[in-house]
Amino acid sequence: MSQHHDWTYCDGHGGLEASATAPKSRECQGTEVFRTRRQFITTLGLGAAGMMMGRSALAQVSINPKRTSNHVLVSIFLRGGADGLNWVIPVEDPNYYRLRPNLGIAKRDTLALSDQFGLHPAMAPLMPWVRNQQLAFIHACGSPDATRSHFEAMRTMEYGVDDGQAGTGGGWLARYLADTESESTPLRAVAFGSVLPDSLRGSTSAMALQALDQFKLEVPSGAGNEREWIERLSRLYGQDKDELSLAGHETLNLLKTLRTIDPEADTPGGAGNYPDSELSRGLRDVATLIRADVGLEVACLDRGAWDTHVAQGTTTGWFTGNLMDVSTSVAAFLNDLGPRSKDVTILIQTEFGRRASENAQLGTDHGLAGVMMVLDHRVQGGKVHGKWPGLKPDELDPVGDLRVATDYRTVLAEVVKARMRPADLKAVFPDFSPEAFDIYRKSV
Amino acid sequence: MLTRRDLLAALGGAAALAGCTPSMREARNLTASGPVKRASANATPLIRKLNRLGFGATPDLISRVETMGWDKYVDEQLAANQPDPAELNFLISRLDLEHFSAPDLRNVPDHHVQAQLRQAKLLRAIYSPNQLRERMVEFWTDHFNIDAKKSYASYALADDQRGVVRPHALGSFPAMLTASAHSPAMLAYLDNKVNQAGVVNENYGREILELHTLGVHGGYTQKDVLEVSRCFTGWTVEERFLGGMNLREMRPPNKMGAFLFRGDLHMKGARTVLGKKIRDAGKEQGDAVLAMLSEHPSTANTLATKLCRYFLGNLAEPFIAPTAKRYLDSKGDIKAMIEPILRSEEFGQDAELPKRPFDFIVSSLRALDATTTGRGSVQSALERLGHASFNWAMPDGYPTKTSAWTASMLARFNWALALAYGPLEDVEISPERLGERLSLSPEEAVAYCVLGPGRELPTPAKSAREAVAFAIASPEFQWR
Repeated sequence: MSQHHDWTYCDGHGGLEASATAPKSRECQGTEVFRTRRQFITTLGLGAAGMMMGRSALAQVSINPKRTSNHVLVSIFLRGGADGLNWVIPVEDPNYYRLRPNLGIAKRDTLALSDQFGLHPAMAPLMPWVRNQQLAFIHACGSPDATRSHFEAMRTMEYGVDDGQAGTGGGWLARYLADTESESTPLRAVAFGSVLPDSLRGSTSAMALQALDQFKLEVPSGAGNEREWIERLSRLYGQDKDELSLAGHETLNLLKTLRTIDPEADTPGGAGNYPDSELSRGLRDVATLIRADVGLEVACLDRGAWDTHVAQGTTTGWFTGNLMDVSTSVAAFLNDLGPRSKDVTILIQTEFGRRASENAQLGTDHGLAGVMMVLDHRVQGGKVHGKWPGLKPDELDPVGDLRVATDYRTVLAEVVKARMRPADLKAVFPDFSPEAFDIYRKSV
Repeated sequence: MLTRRDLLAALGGAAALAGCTPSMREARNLTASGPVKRASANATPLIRKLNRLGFGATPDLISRVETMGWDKYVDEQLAANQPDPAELNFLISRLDLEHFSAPDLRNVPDHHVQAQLRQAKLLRAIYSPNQLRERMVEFWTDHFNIDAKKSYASYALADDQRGVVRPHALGSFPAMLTASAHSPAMLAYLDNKVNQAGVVNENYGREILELHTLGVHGGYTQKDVLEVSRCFTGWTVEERFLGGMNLREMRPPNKMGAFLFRGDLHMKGARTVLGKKIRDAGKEQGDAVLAMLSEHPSTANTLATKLCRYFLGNLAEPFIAPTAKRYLDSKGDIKAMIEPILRSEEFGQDAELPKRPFDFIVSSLRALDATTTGRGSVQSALERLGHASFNWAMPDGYPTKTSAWTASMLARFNWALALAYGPLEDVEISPERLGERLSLSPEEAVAYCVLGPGRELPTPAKSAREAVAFAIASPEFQWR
């Protein structure tokens, strides 16, 4: 069966989102596997949604040179709906193997995690942090969104609300940055990417960059070089004490600082063997900024291509490759940072999990609850947090999806409370009251 | 008769339409020519006034206003009846959104519609002689903010600009508020189109009180939010149109996505808003709320505060109470509110008003008498500066405070360099031509045009291009 699947138009119901260009008969279960970023983007091509998804593994970074803490939130969004059930696997549940006769991963192939769960073997590079209890898993985690549309679900999570379509409050990180603004800084937020992600939407202090080496003066050819222009502009900025003059002055200082970093000479520490991937390159830029002490506070990265409707594989293939990229990139990042990794919280989330049962094309369709991961030396790691709703027929939702037992904002709020600047959680998550949920150790 | 869809089919779809956009060749007709008489040396207050009333000086405008006098210029701007140049009208007439109402526009991809909205707004800000009108369009577009990306609001936004913001920008606030409450784009953006008996949605009810009229401390309670929301139940748009998926198939014939009151969705019963009883009279219950809010002293205060700060920055305080009074005395006449501000001495004094990125970009193009189609590199720059029009998610509109824009400095420097040295897609400047027109060297002409008559570059420039970069990147040029 050979179909063409244009991911952009899949609305999660097996139908298609409105588009001037999408033929109406295409179905969501079609197949075109986007294995490379270029292919992915080329195919997306048209439409605002396509533009939004065009950012693959690109880092969004926020900088605040004047802050007192050294903490950095590294938020990685797995776009497309990562399959939580083949990631943190309920190896003792016969229902799992009943629902996934072909895609189920045998207990003997998993990495031991708890009495109930085993990890996908591609998580092996992160096992040192599992054993050190620094990597926590939150299963059956998700948002109230029930449309199962990628775009609605992502927007809901990135806005930090119940319903992204009803939301007019911008992104949760934008609100966090606004709420914790202590003094004006020139570069509170820098975003690597062609546009800001929705989580930073509404922050005028966030800047989008494709990569770190694009934070620079763009000097047209024939106009001299960047160093000269930094000097020239520095003559204009530095005397006046008004807000914009100071901002200009500090911007030029930051440019000078960043110019002193030679990306070639900035060698990764430890066993920082970064794989060759977008995610990996983004993380390497983040590590460079952390080492340069420019005041990094929040860094967001994307990793796309999780929409495994067809032939997702079990312990090899598409899904495995994705997961391997995440675990090797994150491991390289942490090794690279060495002792500085104590300042970092890595938050990994996805817009939804996938259907409990496999489909006829050996893939899985859009579901509800998924997995969230928090990697932090202060977290109660090495285990799975949250209630487990179960996979029995009457435990699944009517469509056949794992139900959401833990709201995604519970986890975000925990991270903010435990590790970030004091923020008004009511302002950051306006329509949500987090319940007690201790993924962090008490004595911090 | 040819239908829109037949036409599209004949043209080969949206791609063909996307080609129907203003070209640089056409835009060049907008650029002025001929000699300009130079204005007197100290024109700094005049430059400030032009930055605040509109989007900055052009070489021709400095001389014209100096000759005619500020008061006469204010008269002309308040009348807002200067004919727009035929070339500007022609450029804008090339845009799809000028010809199609929302349902037919639906055949054009969403991001093209957004691009055209931005382009039209930018072209008018740069080239319209009715600068005050365009300034107020900017102000009210923020006041009645609509995010083009929310609920397909982009398709109804052209109608919103045509029917809500532009006709009333210098007219009656109550009329603008009423038009906004009926605007399909606003009904979509603040969810009132799904506000109905049994499932009351408070989004519009809250924002009309907090942002559009009374202000957050304007004396209303949560109960008022709920009661106002109930009054507006049933205020919706024609069925299903712009609702979401597969619109073309869903749209019933003859439904234009217009405002519609649905009595069956309206919550029955009398309501109490701000202590006053509003009897149940169907749609009129919402109309009564609009009338009540329009006449409220808190609305006068909210608008006066916002307008005075918008035009007078940190000099606004003494102007607020008189401006609020004029609102109430004139029953919401916007001209009556702003005229004394425009004629005040403070209007030309340093007020720590930052140029937001839209102001920065537009004033740079006006100062240098640039040729542009209003798309391409100009729009990319606005995006990178964080100020693309119709792209603010929150209902409060783009921020005005200086601290909100301190992250834009790098992008401002990059715009200054790009504009100076180019080549830029869809933008052309010529310091040499400016020099000829003003009988100055190109470097002197740049200082004159960008910083004002009698002003010098902040640091000596070796070439006209370098002069442009220094002038546009200078601290001085970042202020309104």
